Amino acid sequence: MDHIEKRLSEIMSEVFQVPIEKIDSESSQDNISNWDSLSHFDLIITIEEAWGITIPVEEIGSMTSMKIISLILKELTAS
Amino acid sequence: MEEVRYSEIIKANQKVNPNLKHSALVKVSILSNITCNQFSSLLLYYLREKNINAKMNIGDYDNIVQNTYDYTDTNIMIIHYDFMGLIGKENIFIEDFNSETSEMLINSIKAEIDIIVKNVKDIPIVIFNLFTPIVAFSHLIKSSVAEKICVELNEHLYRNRARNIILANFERAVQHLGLANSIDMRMYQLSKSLYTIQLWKEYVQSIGSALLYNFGIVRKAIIFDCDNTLWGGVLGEDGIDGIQMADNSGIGRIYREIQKIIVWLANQGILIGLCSKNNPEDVENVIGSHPDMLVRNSHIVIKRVNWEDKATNLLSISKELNIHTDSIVFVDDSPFEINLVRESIPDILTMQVPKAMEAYPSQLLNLVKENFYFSGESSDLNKTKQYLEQNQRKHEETKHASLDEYLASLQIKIVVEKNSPRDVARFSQLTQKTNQFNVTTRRYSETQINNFFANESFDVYSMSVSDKFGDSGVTGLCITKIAGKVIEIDTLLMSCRVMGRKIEYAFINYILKHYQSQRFATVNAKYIPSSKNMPVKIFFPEMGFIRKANENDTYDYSLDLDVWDEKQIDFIEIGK
Repeated sequence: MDHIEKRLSEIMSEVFQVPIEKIDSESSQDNISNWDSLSHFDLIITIEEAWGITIPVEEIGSMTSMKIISLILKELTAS
Repeated sequence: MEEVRYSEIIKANQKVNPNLKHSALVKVSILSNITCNQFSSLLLYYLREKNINAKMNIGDYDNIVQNTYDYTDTNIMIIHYDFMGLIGKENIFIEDFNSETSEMLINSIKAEIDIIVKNVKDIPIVIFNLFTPIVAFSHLIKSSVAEKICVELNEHLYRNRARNIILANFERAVQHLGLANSIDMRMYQLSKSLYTIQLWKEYVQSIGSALLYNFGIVRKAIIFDCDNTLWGGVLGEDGIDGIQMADNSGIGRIYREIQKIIVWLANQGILIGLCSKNNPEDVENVIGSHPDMLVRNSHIVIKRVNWEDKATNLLSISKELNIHTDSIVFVDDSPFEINLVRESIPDILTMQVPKAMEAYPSQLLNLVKENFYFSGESSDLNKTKQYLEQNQRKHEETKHASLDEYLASLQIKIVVEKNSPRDVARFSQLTQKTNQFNVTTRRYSETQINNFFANESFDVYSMSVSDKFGDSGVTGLCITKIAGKVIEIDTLLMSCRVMGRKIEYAFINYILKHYQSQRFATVNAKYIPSSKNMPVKIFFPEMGFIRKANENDTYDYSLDLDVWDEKQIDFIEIGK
């Protein structure tokens, strides 16, 4: 896990109430049961707060796994 | 709360503070036609921070009316009809509505409002947000269709609301932050969640004082320092002619504004006090005769002008006013004094006069908005006057040798009434706000009080108190439950304003004598300890009640009316 994924694991663990050791690079909406459409927005708000960014609306819906989120975050924070 | 990050709020909400586990659960329901999950998280956090053991319940999306049929077992309900949600379902852009389509929309919502008002009548507190077109379409010069619809719906709400419904001007929260900071169209498109965290925080803090008022958690007094707080300059150095509070200078204008606010607060029943390191006669001189002073002795209920430290003075203020330190706000310009008070009495909310003086009035007003609540009830409005009368009583006290002799000189008169429906609002308010002389601390809504009236197994006794200095109004309440030959005291409370005059004995005597004459056998009572009701811990034993021996942690008492003899209180007149 890189730095971004580590930070994301902490956030996901808090938002979805899952022990941090259960979260890895393969975590996604499919294997975290508390990750539903409502908690998804808590996740987005928390990520925006943590990185101080605004995520474009078309990306929000696709951020359904650790891999995709970290990819999008890298793009958004690169510029 | 403004500074707390949303992530921390989510985290905090996941665990219940162990101290709250023992306090009664307060059920809060949120009904809306937009998604309100973030609002719910923020409100939960806010209430728990104020030691209210809240449990949130979010209604089904866009099912406001339907949910009011089911959600009757709730303590607080918040209803938010969002205009965006209302018009989103239409095929026509709102400004393209003709009078017929507008009328149809208006009438269908009015019908919904009527059903809701009826369904929520037993819920103690309902906050209904007023409609606002601000998110849809508004124009500076032309009045928009959206605006016309909202105006008409709001008028309908004002005309038809019941006493338990508080109408909240949601739009003001949006105005404070600006529209751009208030809404997030991304979230609306994806999840029908329209507002930002920032907006909900603003809203929660704005409705907070109204909610807390109903739990008796509200600040009651503001204590001001004098130099550079009530007026500009230092009295001891600049002299009575050198201090500033007049329209003729920039600094003076700010203090004039502050004094206007203080007078307004006193008129609203907020207790105003002074706590200042000065020569008392100098300060008296300013208050009594400085031509520019707006705040006078008729507004100030308490003064501690001396050279003692301010923490000691504030504790003595709390004691004399008979209010807990968590009901007090203290304003001072000195960081030293503010820190001293903060560290020695953390319950007291402090405000330091800002360095940027122009912000002083608005900062004070913000503090007032978030921590005080103006019920508009006459019992609150007259509070300053009643406390000033209390001071006269205290002054009189020193002239008499014994307490009873002094009490007799007051010519106290009480009037006890049974099931008096005209005072139902005051009764409910007393149960919500009385903490010290309150044996069971049970909180009741107006509807619940009305239910006691309607139920033959309950009696509601109320007491009004007056003496030669003035009328304190309805200040005592006793609710009893009748089962066969046994009476149970469900609630017995008395406002702290009339404590210390043995009035409680006269009140309970009256009630017990009544039941004795009706040949009831036993009166059962209970003392439920709270953090504030120590003053009544010994009340029942004093009245001759016997504690039931088999219990350990509870205080259950019983009185045998066949052998009971009243505790004589000769100097209180029982009136009709």
